[in-house]
Amino acid sequence: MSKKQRVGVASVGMMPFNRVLEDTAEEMAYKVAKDALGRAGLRRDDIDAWVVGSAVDAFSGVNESDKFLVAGAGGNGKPWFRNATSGSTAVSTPDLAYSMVASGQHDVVMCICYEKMSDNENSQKVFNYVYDPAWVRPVGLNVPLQCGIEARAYLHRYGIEEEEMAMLSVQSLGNALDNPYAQRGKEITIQDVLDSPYISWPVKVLDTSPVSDGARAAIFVSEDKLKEIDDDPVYVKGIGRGADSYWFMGRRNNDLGRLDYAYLGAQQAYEMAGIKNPATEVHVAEVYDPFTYKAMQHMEAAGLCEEGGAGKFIREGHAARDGKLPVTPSGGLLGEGNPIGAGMSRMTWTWLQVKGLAGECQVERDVDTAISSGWGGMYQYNATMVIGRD
Amino acid sequence: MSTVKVAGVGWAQPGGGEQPSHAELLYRATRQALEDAGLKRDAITSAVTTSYDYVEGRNLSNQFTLDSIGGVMKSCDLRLSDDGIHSIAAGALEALSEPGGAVVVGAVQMAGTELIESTNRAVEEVYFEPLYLRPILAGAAHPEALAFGLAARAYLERHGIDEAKLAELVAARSAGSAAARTVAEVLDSPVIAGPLREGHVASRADAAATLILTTEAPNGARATIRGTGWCAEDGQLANRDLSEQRPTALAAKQAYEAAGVSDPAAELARVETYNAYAIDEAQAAEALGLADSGKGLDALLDGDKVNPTGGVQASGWARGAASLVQTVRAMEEMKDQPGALLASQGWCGCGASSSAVAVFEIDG
Repeated sequence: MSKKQRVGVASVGMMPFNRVLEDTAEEMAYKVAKDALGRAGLRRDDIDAWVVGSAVDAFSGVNESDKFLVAGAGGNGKPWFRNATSGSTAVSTPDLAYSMVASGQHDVVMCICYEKMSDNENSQKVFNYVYDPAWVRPVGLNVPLQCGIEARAYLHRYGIEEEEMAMLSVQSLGNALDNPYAQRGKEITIQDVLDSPYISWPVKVLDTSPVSDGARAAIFVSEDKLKEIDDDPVYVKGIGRGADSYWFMGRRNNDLGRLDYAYLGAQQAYEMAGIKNPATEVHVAEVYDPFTYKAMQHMEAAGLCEEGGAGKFIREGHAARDGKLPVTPSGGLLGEGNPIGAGMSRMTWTWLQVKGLAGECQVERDVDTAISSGWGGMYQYNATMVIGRD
Repeated sequence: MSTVKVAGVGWAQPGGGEQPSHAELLYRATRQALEDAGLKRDAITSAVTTSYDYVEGRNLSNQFTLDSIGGVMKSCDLRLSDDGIHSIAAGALEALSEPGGAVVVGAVQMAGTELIESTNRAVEEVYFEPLYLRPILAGAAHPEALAFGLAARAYLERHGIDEAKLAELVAARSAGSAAARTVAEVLDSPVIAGPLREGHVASRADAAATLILTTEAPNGARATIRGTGWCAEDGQLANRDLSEQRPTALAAKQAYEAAGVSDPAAELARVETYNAYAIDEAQAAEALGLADSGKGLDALLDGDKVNPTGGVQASGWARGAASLVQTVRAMEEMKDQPGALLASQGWCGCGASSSAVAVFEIDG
């Protein structure tokens, strides 16, 4: 059918996240698509195909809800895929866009990830319906409850302290003050976090990202096309995806404290990118951080610090915007907001960092290589994307 | 240049009296496909599955498939909320972008046994967006049929075709199956969305299907993917011309160009299309270039290359999985026709607002 070709990222599309947006999902798609096209100097007719990601249809209450975004996104009468893997949509959707270009099937692909969570009054009820109906759903499990179980396992395994989780929250909400698209930029103290109510011990309200509405776009292009429109091209260097069993009580390593599948995804991405030592070769990271402990697990899985060493890494200031390996300098999901399907925001911020377009969120060090991650499914999917210039 | 092979196929339906779970049914189809491909589970590198949350009654409804398809600690997370043929197209891209791997494309649907009538109405209702479309569904027993009823009316009136001809197609397709209906039975059945009647609509079914796609098939292959195409239009019914299936026409154009097919009516040996509402088959036949505009029903009734085993009108409609089942069964039945071209089409979205087409060459 086709050839394999190198893939670059030509642009990203941004819009403010907020708890409740007046915009419909279609309007959100329009805004970020237009922003991405404008930043790249492209027109709608230049796009060959679209891929759209959102977490689950139940947030909108519409089956195949993406089909009502087609016109707003500019994709009427064009190839259109919809990917839905919950939080890992953050990378699995751009990964699909990557494949569409890498395979040679298309040269310019618009990738849009969105979520309008405010259409649904009970997001945790939605998540309860992720579980199997016979065994787990009746127990009433939801995201905070399961994340409490995971966080306990993680803290216990590595001797991490709740204060170290709190330090990341302080950093991320502070970083979000400089992010014009963030909904929760705030100066807080470690004590504020520790004093916030537990939602599922040891996870507290300020360890948790806020519910949000919003969208992001990214345009993936062939190398030839990218060189036509950008004299400082940024390429997709590596992608990796790992997945573990649906049964969270039956994970292969029998330990929710260590995400083997996240290590696998990062390892694949680094192999593809030729990265041997991520702690020195990665210059900035936007890890998926719906909860503080989850960001720490992802930092370790990505090899940004030692396994079990995320707390120390944060405590010593290495993850700060002026640190040796800044982590979520945009504020991440914790500070920017977490419209779940729009977790691709992490990848869009890595592009802005590499291009030097991150504004007040720009890190001090030079950035040639950046990574982002996503996490989803039944806490079973993880993916990593490496982008950078040659 | 790489090509993508269908290295193995499998499909499964529940046996008489048994009630397998989703996971069991998909496991059976995948096990068959692996054996058909001469591969072990360890060979699987990634997967693209397709599912619809509302139909499944669970959110993130593909995730339980991971264990069934041998995807633990693999890159087996991709999930489309589109038709099964879309997942073949996505699976082919996955295979091409990482040559050497084995990509599982799979779907399972258990709506036949698990969806009760009242639940089914609610599921169909949410196919319509809430502001403009959902209010028109008040009192409708079969909400999704309204979209296809509008399409049938637009098509039949535009071309001056009597609705009895649509019933003839249902009778022809369902003949000899457990779901057989005569023309009179179709026309005597209650109107659910004029001119569509209950008799026009395929019954629901349970099924699973798996295809294994590779760029290298040293053990031989069922088929080679020659082209894929997929396309969507605005989900709002009022913004589309419902008398034709434009998404299918655009998807077919893309697939045919890739496959080098210039005269589909002559070059394709067999075509499998969705025919859940009968009118979708007539419109698809035209969109696929098998008949001129308004001549789809005549071509289908006179010909024998489209849905020769009756499609879902005969075997039942396992939404999302059905097009994969039709594709797999066609490949099995065409195994002695090396070089023959098979085209498969499936739709999704409100009133078939999205469609996908794949063209396969049967391997010798």
